[in-house]
This record gives sequence, C-alpha cells and structure tokens, in this order.
Amino acid sequence: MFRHSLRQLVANKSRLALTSFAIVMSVAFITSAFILSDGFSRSFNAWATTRAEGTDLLISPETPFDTGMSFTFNPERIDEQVLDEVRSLDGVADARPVLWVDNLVRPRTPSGDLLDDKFWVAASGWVENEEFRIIEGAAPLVGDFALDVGTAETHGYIVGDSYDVSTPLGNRTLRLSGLTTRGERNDTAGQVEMSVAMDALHEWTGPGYLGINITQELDEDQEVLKTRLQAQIPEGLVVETRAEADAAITSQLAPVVNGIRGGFLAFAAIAVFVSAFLIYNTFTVLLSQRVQEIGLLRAIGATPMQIKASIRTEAAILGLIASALGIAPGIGLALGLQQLMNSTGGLPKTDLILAPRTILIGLGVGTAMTIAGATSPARKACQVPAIVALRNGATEQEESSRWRFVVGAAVLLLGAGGAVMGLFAVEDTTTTLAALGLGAMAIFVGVALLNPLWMRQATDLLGLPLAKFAGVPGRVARQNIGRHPRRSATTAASLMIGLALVSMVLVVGESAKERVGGGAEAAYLSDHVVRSQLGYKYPISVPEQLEKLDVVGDVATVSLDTAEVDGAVQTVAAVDFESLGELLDVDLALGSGLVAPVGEGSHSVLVLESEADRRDLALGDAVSITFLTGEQRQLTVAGIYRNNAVGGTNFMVERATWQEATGQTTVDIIAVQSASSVSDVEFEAAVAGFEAANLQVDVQSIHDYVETTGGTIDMMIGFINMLMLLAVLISFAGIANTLALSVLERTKEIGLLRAVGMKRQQLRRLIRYEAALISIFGAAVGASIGVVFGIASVKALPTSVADSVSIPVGQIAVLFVLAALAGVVAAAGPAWRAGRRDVLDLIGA
Amino acid sequence: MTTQLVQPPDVDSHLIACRATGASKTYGAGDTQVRALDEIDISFAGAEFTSIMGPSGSGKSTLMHCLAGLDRPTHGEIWIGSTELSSLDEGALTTLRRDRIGFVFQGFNLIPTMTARENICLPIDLAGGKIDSAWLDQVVHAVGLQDRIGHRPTELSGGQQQRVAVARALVSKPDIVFADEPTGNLDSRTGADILSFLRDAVRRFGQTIVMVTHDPVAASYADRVVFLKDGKIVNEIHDPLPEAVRAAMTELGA
Repeated sequence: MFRHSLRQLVANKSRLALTSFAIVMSVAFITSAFILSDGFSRSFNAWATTRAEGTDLLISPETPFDTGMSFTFNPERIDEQVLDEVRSLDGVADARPVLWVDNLVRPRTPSGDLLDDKFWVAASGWVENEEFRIIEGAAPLVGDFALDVGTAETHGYIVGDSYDVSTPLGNRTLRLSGLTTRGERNDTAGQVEMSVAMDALHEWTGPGYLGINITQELDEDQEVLKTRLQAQIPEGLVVETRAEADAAITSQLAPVVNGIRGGFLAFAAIAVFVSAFLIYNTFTVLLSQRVQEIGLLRAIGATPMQIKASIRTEAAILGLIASALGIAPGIGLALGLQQLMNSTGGLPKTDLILAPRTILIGLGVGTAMTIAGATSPARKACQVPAIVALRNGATEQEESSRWRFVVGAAVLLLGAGGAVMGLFAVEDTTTTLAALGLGAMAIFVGVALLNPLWMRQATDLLGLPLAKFAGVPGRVARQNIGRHPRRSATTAASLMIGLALVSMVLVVGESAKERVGGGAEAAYLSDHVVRSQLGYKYPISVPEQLEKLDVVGDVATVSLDTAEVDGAVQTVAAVDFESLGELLDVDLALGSGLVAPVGEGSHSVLVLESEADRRDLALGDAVSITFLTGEQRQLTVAGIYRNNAVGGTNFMVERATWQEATGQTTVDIIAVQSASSVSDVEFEAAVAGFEAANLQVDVQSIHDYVETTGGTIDMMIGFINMLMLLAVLISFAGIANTLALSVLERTKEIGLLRAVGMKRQQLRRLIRYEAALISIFGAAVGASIGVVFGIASVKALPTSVADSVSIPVGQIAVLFVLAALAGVVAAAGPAWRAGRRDVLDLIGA
Repeated sequence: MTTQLVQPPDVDSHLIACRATGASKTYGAGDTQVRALDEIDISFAGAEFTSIMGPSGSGKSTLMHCLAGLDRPTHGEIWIGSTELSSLDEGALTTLRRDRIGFVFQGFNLIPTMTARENICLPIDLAGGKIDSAWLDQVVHAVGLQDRIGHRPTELSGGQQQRVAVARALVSKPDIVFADEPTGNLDSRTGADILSFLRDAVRRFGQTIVMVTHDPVAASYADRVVFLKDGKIVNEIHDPLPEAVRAAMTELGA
C-alpha cells in the first residue's frame, strides 16, 4: 500500500504542486517566526551579558515603584563623589560609572541627515571594559565621539572626520575618534551605540551617574559583600548582584521576545488555516476522481482502514516533502521581514538563527496540517462501496444540506459567541486574543460550511451581467459554479478568510488613524507642533529659544512622565494650566482647573472624565501621586476633562509641581503658535534656521504632524496586511487548483464546445469568468465579515486607540477589484492549458 | 431506393459541398509509420446523404475528422464549398466549424448545464448571431422536440438527446453535417427515428450529411455508401439496401 501511495503522488504531481505551495508558505511562516525571535532573543541576551562585563555588583538609585516597563529612564542620579567612596570600600577591586542618554544625542550621517535609525540611539559616557572596546581609532575625549562598528559601516562614517552632533545644548561638531565593538560580533541588540567622554555627557545632561558597576575582590562571598555595601552607601541607592540584574533584564525581555514570536506565529496560524482548506479541497477532488479505483481496491479485498491508511500515507509524504521545501523560503522570509521591520522601526537588526527545534516544528506542523486536511476526504473515500467499481462515472456525493445547515449554523453561532465574549466579557488581554482568534476561526468554518447552500444563488446573481453580456462563455461559466457548489465554496472560503482579515485590519487601522489624527487636530490650538515619533525628550532650552524667535508668538509645552497615581502606574502629563484653552485644547467638563492655587502643600490635578468615573473621583477629591524620584505629593482634583488628546494621558499636573518634585525640565511636546503678523514663508525661513542649529528639532505644521502620525499607522497597517496578503496568495493557488481540476473533469464537454465552434479565446474566457465569479463571491463574503470583525474590534478597543468606526470604503473596494482580477490571473494557467489542447484529444478522451 | 427527391428550389444538387483530393494521413515515421488515409479522392454533392463504412482501423473516423476540420491531413486538400482547409489557422478552422459545419456525435453531444433550446442554439450563440426563430421552430418540430425544448439533458431520454443534437447540427444551416455513429448508443427503434430525421433533413431542407457508421441498417438510410479499407476507398453503393451493405462489408472481411 505504501508503494501505491507513492505512485498516486507521482501521478498527480501537477495537481499537488499547488497544494505543496500552500504547505511551503505555511512552513515558511512558522520557520521565520522562530528564526526571527531566536535571533532577537540571542542578540539581546548577548547584549545583556556584555553590557556589564567584569561587573559583579551594581549600584543604582532605588525605584519607588515597579514601572513594569523595560529600561525606564530613571532621572535620579548618583552623586559623583559616591563613586570615589565606593572605590575606596573594602572588597571593591574596581568601580566604574554608568551614564547614558537615549535618543537625544545623535550625529549627522556622512550624507548629511540626522542619524535616524529607528530603533534606539543611546549615547553613553565612555568606560572601556573587556567586552566593549575600541577596535579602530581611539577612545573618545571631550570633543570626540565613538560609534559602534556596525552603525559606522552601515552609514559610511570615517574615523577622524568631524560630524555635527545634536546635544541637549544644541549642535556640537565632534570628531569621530574610533569605532567600538560589543563582544566579538558587536551585539548591540539593534541599537546605535554612541560613546562620548563622560565629562562631555556631564556637561550636556548634568552631573551624576545612573549607576555604578563594581568588580569585587576575589576572596569574598558576593552576598556578604552586597549586604555590607548596602549598609555603607547613601540611602536611596540599592546594590544588586549581577545575577539579579541579569534576571531582571531577562524577565523584562521575555515578553518582548514572546510577543515577536507570537505575532509571527499568529500569521503562520492564518496561513496554516487557509492552507488546510486548500489541502481538503485537493484531496476531495483527487479522491472523487479515483472513486472507481478505490471501489476496485475494495472489491478485491482492501479494508476501509487500509484505504484510509494509504491516503494518510500519501498526505504524510506530501506534507513532509513540502514542509522540507518550506524551510529555505522561511529563512528568506525572515531576512526580508527583518529588513522591512528594521526600516520601519519595529525591530532591531539581529542575527538570524535556524535552530534544529525550528526545523522540527516546521516539518511537524506542515506534515500534521496536511494529514489533518486529508482526514475528512479520506474518511469519506474509505466508505466507498465495492460496487462503485462496476458503475460508470460515479460522482462526488454531496451530503444533505440540512445536516450542513445545522452544523454550519451551530459552529457559526459558537464562534460568534466566543468572539463576543472575548471582546466584551474578558478582562485579560491574552484570553481576549485567544477567544477572538478561536471565535474568528469558528466563524470562518461556520460560514464556509454554509456557503455552498447559497453560493449558487449568489453567483447566479453575480453572474447575471456575464450571462447577459458575455455570450456563451459567460453563461456557461455562471452555470458551472453551481455544478459543484461545495467545491466552489471551499475554494472561495480560503480567499474569504484572507480578505476578511485584510479588511478587518483596514477598518481598525482607519479608525485608529482617525482617532490619532483627529486627536492631534483636536489637541492643538496652535498652528505648529514639535513632537518626535520616537519619543525624544527635548531640553527646556528648546522651547525657551523657540519662544525668543521673532516669528513665534507663543509656546506651550507638555512633559510626559511615569508616575504612580493612587497605586496605579500611569503616564502623567505636566503642563502649564494657563496654556490649556490657549494653545492646547482641553475640553473641561467640570471645574476650571485654574482656580486651585499652586502653593505650599497644595497642588491641583486634572483628570480624564472616563478615568474619574472609573475611580469615582469628583472635584475637590484628593489624589496621591508618586514620581520616579520617590517624591510623593497630595493633589486636589481641580478639573475633569473630556478628551485626553494632549499626550493621551488620564492625568495632568501643573508643570511647576512636576519640576519641583522631580527636578526634571525636559519636554515631550511643544505647541508653537506663529506671531500674528508673520507670513508662512517668513515663519518657515526663521524656523529652518533654528532647526539647522538644533538637529533633533522638527517644527511641523499641525497638518504635517497629523500626516506623519497617520503615516506611521499606515506603515503598520501596510506591514500587517502584507503578511495577510501572503495568506491571500495561498488562496489564489487554491483557485488555480480548483479550476485545473474542474477543467480536467469536463474534458469531453470542453471538447464538444470546441468542436461545435467555441474558439480558444472563448474557452479561456469561460474559465477566467469562472475564476472571477468564485473570487468575487469569496471577496464579497470575506470583505463583509472583515468589516463586521473590524467594527467589533473597534468597539472593543480602548478609546485611546480608536473611538469611532471609520470604514475605508475606497481601499476595500480596490481590494475587492484586485481580488477579482487576481482570481482571473490565477485562472490563466488552467485556461491556457485548456485552450491549447487539441479538439480531437478532448472529444476522444 | 425509389423515393422521389424533392429539392427545395435554392439548393443546387450539383454543387459539391465537400471534397477531398489526394488526402493522406500518416502517423509516426519509418518502420512504425501508419497510413490511416491513403491518397483519398472523394466528393460529397449538395443535398446528398452519404454513409462511410469500413472495418475498425479502416480510417473512416480519420477521414471524417479531416473532412470536418477537426484534424489535418498530412498531404492533400480538403474543400468545404470553395474553402480549402489547409490554408486556415486554428481560429479560422474553429469559425468554419461553427458557421458551416454541423456535428452529431455518438454520445456526450450536449452541455449538461444548458437546456435543449440553449444546446440547439449553441453554435449561433457562439458566433454571436441572431436566431431565425421561424427556422428554429421548423427544425424543432421536425425532430419532434417542441414539448421538451426547456428541459436539460438529464431530463431527456437518450433518443431525445440525440434529436437535440441533430437539431443543433441543422439549425445553423451548415454546408454539411457530419454524424459520427449517431445511433451507436441507441436501441434500434430509437435509432431508426434519428436516421429518418437525418434523411428527412436531406429531403426536405436539402441538407448535405456525411455519416460514419458500422451498422449496415443505419448505412442503408443514406443515398450512397462509401466503403473504406486500409485508408483507401474500396467500394461504393448508391441507393443501398441493408442486405447489399452487409454483403459488401462481409466482402471487406469485417
């Protein structure tokens, strides 16, 4: 029987080629998910271990609360003299200072732009250790900087040349003194690593250190030393062992790595799901063509189990071979995705690692999904009675439609129920996503089961113009869809799923864009704004200098900071309350926010309406806030606002309160209003001069800012949909496969049409029309489901992401047309082959 | 046969509807070469009903396929009216089949998804032409299908299906109709009906028909029977009777 399975595969190799394509794609997805996440994980771990080479203990300022975020920038500094004290302590062999600043300090590239590698730019005070060292040139002195060798090579920096560097004090021209490497392979975990002399960093960002790394004397127990050090250093500082620090970083990284892996595996799951439909379809048709042969096998004594085993073996061999073929494209896909995500700022560029585990999972899932897809057709095939062998032209048995309706409707309702529960009843995000995913799958299966029941009527309607205006080919094509409603429907189903997902993403994306864009429009009453997409924090000197420009009328600032408010970690905005309603539009529902005096022991806070409702806060209530510095303040609710447009926060505090408590002065958002007498041209010219002197500052008109913000979302939608479209591609392979098979089945009929005078072009048109009808049906059902899913998702999302549904009708229409056209393209192969065949062959066959 | 020929006035019985000159068809090369047709010269006059007979492998089907533009002879010429087929490309041949030739096959004559009427009108629809409904009525009445015209093939008996096929072959008023064993799948009584229709078409409408068959009774409905053996025409009988046809076949060793 094994040999029989093998021969069947060889005999049907062209049929199976398209099915293999689906398996290859699925396995490629799975493989790339693991390759990417493994690479990221390794690179980050390598960075984590090299970042403090030779360090046994670390001293850092105590965090008053757990922010739950990786690498929170703690503004608290360690006095420089503490370093000297630590160095002189017993048991300390060496102590090195740690100081860095992210994103703010950036050099111009040799081509003249500001270095804008999307991921992360960190400038550290130069301290050499064994794993982080100069490999070319010299260590940076004051007036110099060093770059990691990877970044330098990517952008073509030349050691010895001078470059403009943006600093918190404005531009400096610094000389590139040397190139650094982290470990043997420069494992920077994707960030740009810039080094400057510690004194320079002090000059720019103020005195003190973020941490102290200690190398201990060899002969002392680490825990004993840790306890002793903790007692000897000033209060507010904590000592951690290296192992503790690494564990903390690893546990912070784990969700990131798992998120990346999970995200890509979700796409892989979609590809697998769509492919399963295709595999099911292929085997159903292959086996229905072989029904007589199976009857013969049964007649000569093969048991149903043997038939089933033979078909399963066929599926297993096919699955294994195709899965093996999927590994290499998986590596390619990983490379391409990394390139793309790196350029859009989603992921750092890291090594790609093909672990044996990855290959095993790829092969396993690919083979299992093929066997699973073939299971139901195999079960039906082995029920074929022996008598069929003697009959002529047995056809595919279409099961009763009542049974189909009951099961389909039940699965659909179950799915809808699961999805609704996931959306509205579950608090935990992971459970929500799982319920949503499973619900969506059940909905797809349910709709796919129900589709054959009405597909004929639907395509009859859709095909009406074809029948009217496209002559005989149009009429025959329209009728052919109804001949095998189940097969046509399964074919359409895979396209339906792909299109549903793409349109859902479009709806959610458009709604989010509307929210963010509309929010941005609504947030500012000024005509210009400075806000970095990457979250730069600007030194207070930037708004101060902007305000001094003649062309600028008024400036308002927003600073964002992490704080704990009544026990919950929040992003809090610090603003001048006077600017609310002037340059920053905040719609106060209650209170003025301005009446509460800012005085000794009395600070006011504004609360977002929905947050106030949740916490049951009213005007005059007291709120306790703890800043990252550990400073705690009692605040009085002085106003409640309806929109959280400025910075998207639930709380706003007075800038003075925040500055006094944290000692921080940096700003995140600068609203800029041009002077009333100044023309746009004058304004642009004056601001351009300022921008040239402050490289990191980009003063955008509100319109441009909204565009940029929307552009970022567009990029994300585009990226997600590109992955979704790979699933759509699989479904087109399905269309090609189905058409090839139905052409094969109708050989004689086609021969007759050709004999009585149907031209090749007419025949090819007929096949293309069929494909178009299947595609349009699948696309229409898919787009409808997708829009419904999209609306449901928008309703379930937090209002800060999307608050009202907005459907990108144009984009979905374009998608729809493209799907129909792509279906026609998918039919090109089968149509061409059918047209080429000799009439005598066809009628004689 | 003594039946009086009633010619419609617009058909010239002396006009040659179809003609083969020196038509040869060979398959393969060298030692394994098979000569299916060997220098055949034959013509079919307008409004004539011709049967082609011969044992298996005599080349009768090949001859019909070549005459009908479904296949091309290796050498020689095929003429339909004043058109020589070897000069035509595939597209032109298809158009010629559609507009000037009618077909009746042994089985699988009809498109299952189309009604009888749609099947009959198929060649005209393919050409994008207009149906002459008076003529359609006449043909449908002639084959006795006026009550079944809206039915699909699965709802028709085998004989009715073949009548639909005959009607389709006639409706486009082709120069010539080729019928390939049109009664092969039918019982003798139903078969006799079909053959009568074919003969009526020749008598009443002046249709030219060429029929390939191996059944002497069927062949005897024709005005003329042509016998093939080893790709050559070896005999010809005019106004045949079944006995004479049977005797001629026996002589051929079939």
